[in-house]
Amino acid sequence: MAELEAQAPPLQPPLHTTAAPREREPDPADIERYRKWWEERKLRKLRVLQTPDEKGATLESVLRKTKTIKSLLEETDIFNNVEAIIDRSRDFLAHPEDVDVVFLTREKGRYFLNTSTQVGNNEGGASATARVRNAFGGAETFEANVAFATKTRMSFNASLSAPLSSDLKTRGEIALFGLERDNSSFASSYEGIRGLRAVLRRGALSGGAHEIGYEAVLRHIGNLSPSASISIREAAGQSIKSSLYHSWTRDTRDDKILGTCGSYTKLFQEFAGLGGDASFYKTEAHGQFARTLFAGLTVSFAARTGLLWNLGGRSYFSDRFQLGGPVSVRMFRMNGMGPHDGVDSLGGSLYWSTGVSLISDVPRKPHWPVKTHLFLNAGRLDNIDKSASISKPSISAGVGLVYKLDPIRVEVNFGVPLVASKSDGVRKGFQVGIGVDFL
Amino acid sequence: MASPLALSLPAPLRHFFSLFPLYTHPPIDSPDKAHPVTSPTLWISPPFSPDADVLSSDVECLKWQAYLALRGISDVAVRWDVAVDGALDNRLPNLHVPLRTLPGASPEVRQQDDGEGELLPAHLIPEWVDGQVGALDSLEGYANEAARDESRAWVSLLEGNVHAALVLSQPSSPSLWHFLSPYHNKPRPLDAVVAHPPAPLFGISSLLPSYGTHLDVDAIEQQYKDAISSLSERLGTDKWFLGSSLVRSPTALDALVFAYLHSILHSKEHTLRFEVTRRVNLVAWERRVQSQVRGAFRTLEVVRQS
Repeated sequence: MAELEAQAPPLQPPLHTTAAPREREPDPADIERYRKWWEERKLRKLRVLQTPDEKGATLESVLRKTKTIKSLLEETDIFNNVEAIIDRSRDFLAHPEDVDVVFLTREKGRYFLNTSTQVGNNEGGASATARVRNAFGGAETFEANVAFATKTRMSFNASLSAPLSSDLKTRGEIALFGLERDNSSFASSYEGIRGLRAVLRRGALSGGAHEIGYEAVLRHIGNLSPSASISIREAAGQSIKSSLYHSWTRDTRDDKILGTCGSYTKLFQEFAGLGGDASFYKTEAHGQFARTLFAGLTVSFAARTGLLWNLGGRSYFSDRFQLGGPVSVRMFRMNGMGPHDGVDSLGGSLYWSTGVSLISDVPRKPHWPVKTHLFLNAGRLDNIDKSASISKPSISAGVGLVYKLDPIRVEVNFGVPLVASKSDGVRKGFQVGIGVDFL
Repeated sequence: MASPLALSLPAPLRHFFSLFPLYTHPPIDSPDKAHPVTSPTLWISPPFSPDADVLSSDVECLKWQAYLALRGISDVAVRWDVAVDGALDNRLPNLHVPLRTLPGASPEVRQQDDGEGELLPAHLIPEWVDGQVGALDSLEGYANEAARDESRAWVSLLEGNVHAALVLSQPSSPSLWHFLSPYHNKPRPLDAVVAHPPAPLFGISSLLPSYGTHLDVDAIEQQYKDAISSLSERLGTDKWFLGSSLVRSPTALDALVFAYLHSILHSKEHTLRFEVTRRVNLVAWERRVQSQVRGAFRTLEVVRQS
């Protein structure tokens, strides 16, 4: 066998290159394998789209199908613009009347990094967001976010969401989140949260969006002020909540911040007690509707209520409701209503609040984003075992200016509390509110 | 005195605001509000067996339990349902006392006792005890000046060598839970306890940031053995440490010795325990003091029921 071994030709200068043009090309079998893989991959990528219906297609059905596919492609949030061209089919085997539907798309950047500063819900802060679109080729989105602010000291959130149904209307999401909240203004403490969440979402806001999820959260009340009350000291420490929740939201308002028509409804319910310390059933309902009375004058009515039914031994501070403040019942301190121990608001298990606002244009300046408003708010935060007292509301009234500073609303109000409980923290005179959801 | 530049409301506006709220409901009560404090309550870390015991498993808390009991305070309630985050400066024990028992409480304060009480950190407990049972003289309960000075040496021996050995026997490995927890309560670092602060794990010229400490475990163990043996010799058959025939009352040193002996006897580390169990006088002394200390405390539930 030794004589069969290839022998290098004797080297004789000058040397010439002997490489043939095809020498470095891959094996045809490899090319075939690669082509197959690529086609499979392309199919996999398109598995969310419906396969075209080929039999008995008319121009109308083709146009319809094209529109469906186009809107689906747009829904994936992967492409910047999607254009469809209907062309005579170029396939050799095609019938003369066959058409090709060609989609011209431009993919959005896969990687997105953003830092920003923002103001909202009476706090200001800075955040950094990183997003990967179409992370695994199936319209999945991975997003990581870190933010630092005044009230919510630190928050982070990392989530992976993916479409679960072929119409892309149902999305699943897994998220890790954490935040640290400064509650020292009303409860002499900080609250740290670390959690894991798995969510299923379906539907659009205009027709009613469902969200069902599971949450496992570690809550930690700590960093108490030296003057913290004994009740808050007793509430300090860690607790674990493991809960299932469902929420339904429907929003038909023409504007989320200063709507002139339409309504907003949100129903929320949560059951905790699948392991962990906290065991309760919690339900909340928010509603708002706005109507234009005549040009330049809108009336907005809002109501919220919530109930926390404790199933276990003790209720936890983190689960209880808080009420009051510029985005809640105005002319009361932020989370300053309901049961107190000294200066600390302990929260309650039952609340309702309602508000009516008359919003009008500034005279002769209807195009200004500043509107005037007149409000009347009422609400009560209490505990379930004394349901008779829930009908003793705290009431406030006042006037103010509303400034629509997209995407938030800023209010400067002057008002007074008309009726209050002795334990409520009241605010007379001016109050500034920055937020999204107002009563 | 108020600065002339300080903002103040104009009188008409102040008058207008004083009219509101027009009607006031009674304050809203809550089952989540703390119970009023009726008797002195010590907040401690949980005992080794929370169902059957009132003596804390934490040596710092036990020191103050023993201190209160040996100073003659009795009928103190203990509770361990408050997390360490709820304690003043995140350190247990705290003593929660009704306002009327405060040494400097005026008659008005005694009258307006709303049950909120006053929470005292550990270092203010002796002052409160002085107010209850009378202050100690300059000898702090010891037989003479020499005994008082000697007690300082014993205190530093216990809080140094013995404490180091005890902490070493309860290693706190960083767990996932610890990693998840948003706020951390750092225990007293070991290098603040041992007599000769250990060198860092890395040299001063190291590029790595310094972390961890290098501890000579054998040396700490040897020092611990020496400390226990000298403790046993010094006690002999006396009723109290450094006690002469003239003085029959316990001192702060006895509280400290009891806390360490009790914690060591409940330690899971055999070598640590063995050093004490082989010395009969220490075991017998600990048992005697234990019953006295235990007798001074009741759980909060028992106090509330009575």
